[in-house]
Amino acid sequence: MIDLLDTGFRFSAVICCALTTALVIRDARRQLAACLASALSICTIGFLVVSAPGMGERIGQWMVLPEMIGMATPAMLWLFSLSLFDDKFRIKPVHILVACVFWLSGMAVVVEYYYLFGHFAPLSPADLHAAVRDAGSGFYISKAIGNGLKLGMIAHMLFTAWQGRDDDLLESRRKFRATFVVGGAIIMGVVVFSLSSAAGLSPESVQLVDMAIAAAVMTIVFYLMWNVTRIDSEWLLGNLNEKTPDVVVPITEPADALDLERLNELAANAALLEQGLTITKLADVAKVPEHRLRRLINQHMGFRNFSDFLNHHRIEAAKDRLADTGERHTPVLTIAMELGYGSLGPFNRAFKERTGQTPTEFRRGFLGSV
Amino acid sequence: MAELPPLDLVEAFFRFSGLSLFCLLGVLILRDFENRQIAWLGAWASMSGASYLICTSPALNSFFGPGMLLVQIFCHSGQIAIWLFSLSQFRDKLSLWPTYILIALAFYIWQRMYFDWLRFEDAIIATTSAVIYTVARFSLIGHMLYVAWAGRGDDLVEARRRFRTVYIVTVSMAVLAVVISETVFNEQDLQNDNILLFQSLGMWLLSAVLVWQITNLRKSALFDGPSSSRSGQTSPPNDPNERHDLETVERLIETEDLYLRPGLTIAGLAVEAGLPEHRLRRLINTHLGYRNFADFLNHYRIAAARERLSCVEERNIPVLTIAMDLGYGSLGPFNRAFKERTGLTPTEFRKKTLADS
Repeated sequence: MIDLLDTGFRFSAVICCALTTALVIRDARRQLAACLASALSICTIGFLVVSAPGMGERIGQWMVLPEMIGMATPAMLWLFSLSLFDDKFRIKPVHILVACVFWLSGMAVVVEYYYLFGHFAPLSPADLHAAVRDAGSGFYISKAIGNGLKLGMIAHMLFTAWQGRDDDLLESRRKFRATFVVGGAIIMGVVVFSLSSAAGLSPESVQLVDMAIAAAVMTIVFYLMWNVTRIDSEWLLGNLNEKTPDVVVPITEPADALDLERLNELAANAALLEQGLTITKLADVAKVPEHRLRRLINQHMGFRNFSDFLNHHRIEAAKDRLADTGERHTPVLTIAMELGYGSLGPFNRAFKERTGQTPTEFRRGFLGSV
Repeated sequence: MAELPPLDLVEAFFRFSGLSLFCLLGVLILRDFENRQIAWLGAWASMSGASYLICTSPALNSFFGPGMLLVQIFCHSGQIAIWLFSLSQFRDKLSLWPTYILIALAFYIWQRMYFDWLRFEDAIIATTSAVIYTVARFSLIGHMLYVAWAGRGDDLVEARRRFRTVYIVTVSMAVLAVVISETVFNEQDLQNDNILLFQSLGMWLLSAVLVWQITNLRKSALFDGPSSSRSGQTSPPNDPNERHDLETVERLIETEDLYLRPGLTIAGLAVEAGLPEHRLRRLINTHLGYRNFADFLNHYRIAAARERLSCVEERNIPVLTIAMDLGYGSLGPFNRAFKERTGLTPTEFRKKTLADS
């Protein structure tokens, strides 16, 4: 049961990390904090893979690849936090130096294992340390350097987050600083505890701690996704209401202005009243490429679909004709046909939607008031 | 090197990550499409994708135990959820009630009757009801795809127009895969490893494509507000209250020179302005465009410093005195802030401007 939960939490965390990376690469390549977040996500995937129970038996020596990646997680977390909480943060040589020394101190154990046993270790980092220690070797300096740097980096990032609190003007970030400091301290405590004392725990407790870590990572990444992603309202199609009017972008390109002029000219010459008019045909007549015409009508005139655009013009024309006393005997059907509608149904619906009245009611009301 | 991971690990990866992608999609749709009918339908459809991944896994079935009853409701209603969602997404101004809701309800009840309640003994009746059920299923799928396809020419929002194609391809492939595998194989076959992998991979692809297509990172990816200090994204306040607050702050800073007070904090400024601290923070951030208070103060202080350093009469006043007068506690922070804004140290700046004048 615990292994099922572990697998679930772990793979969910992995996919969310992968998604974060992919979204950053697509949408936010230029932001330092976002790039560091995506590097951190990749390292976290490595960490999640190597710390998965029984992963060593399954993938054998391949463990060395995720191990190399996962090794850098604390350093990446440190850099990412600095970029998040310090507006003036830039990566300097000293940051790279600290991160590299930290990473190499971790890799030293991997290399040592290779020298001792002649193959890469199919083991999680904690077991790896234990194995090297049991083999009677002493790369203790590298471990001391690694742990020292890790504690230093954690202290530094928590301090940076805490220290900027009063000065911060972004409300959401200010709130997040406190969460980060408290949550970060707890999680790091658990990780350090579980890695350093794994040898003394029963296998069940180790399994439980591993699962708890996977669950914590999953929670954090979900929280991150919740806060940084959104779905554009432009995906909404049907069932629109007034809550989301389309924004009309003012025209800046001279070419667009000319296209718009051409379109208005066509509208004035009754080109929109042709039966069965599609956007392709209109593009042909206007001599504007279809994709440009779509964009023009959507972005600069604010219509979300072509029939809305056509109806807008056609119903305006219909109102003029229905209000014309000279045409009071022309049947509504004739007017609808002449305005480009194929039958009465669509005309009536479109008319009612825009005016709140049927064409006949409208005409009666108007002629009555004259 | 050792051999590649065994199948069950790969299968578990696709199943669990697909599960969480569907859940993510569901909550995001519910949040961002606000309280519209379509949001509920979208969330329902996503949750039934997630439940399908649970229902088809023997391990998860035993894990959930009695909770499976709830999961099964989502799982079984998946097809009508997707159908209703597609209709309301791809048809403009369509009212689902009563026609479509009633059809969906009838389909659901027939489906449950067919699977759970009626066990037809008679071969002819059994075959007939199976045929009716299958025809109904395929009709729903066909109708849904037709609706998504038919509006394509009319649609003007470019990204959404492309999404119609993606939606049609992925959703139809996934739904067809499910329907065909269920039609062709019986229940024992469905426990087969290869089929489990095939199902989870298919659903995973569907969830990944949908999430990838419709989610975006927000403009300022991590936290709201202007992305760099003093960027152009500020807006003058519309609210008369805020306009008044802003005038108060500007008066305090610019006419009463409050920025020169040593150790001025945002709390101190809030007291002077008679404003709650959180309002003041928001005011300076959204309407003046600073991300932190030090930046805001430095802006005024360094402007004053430049004036004094280029003043000929003050040429013999030590830089430290000027820094102290401007409210800095020591020379270090002053020098750093000055260099950041002008590219020169105060001394270099003074030398240069005095030489020019």
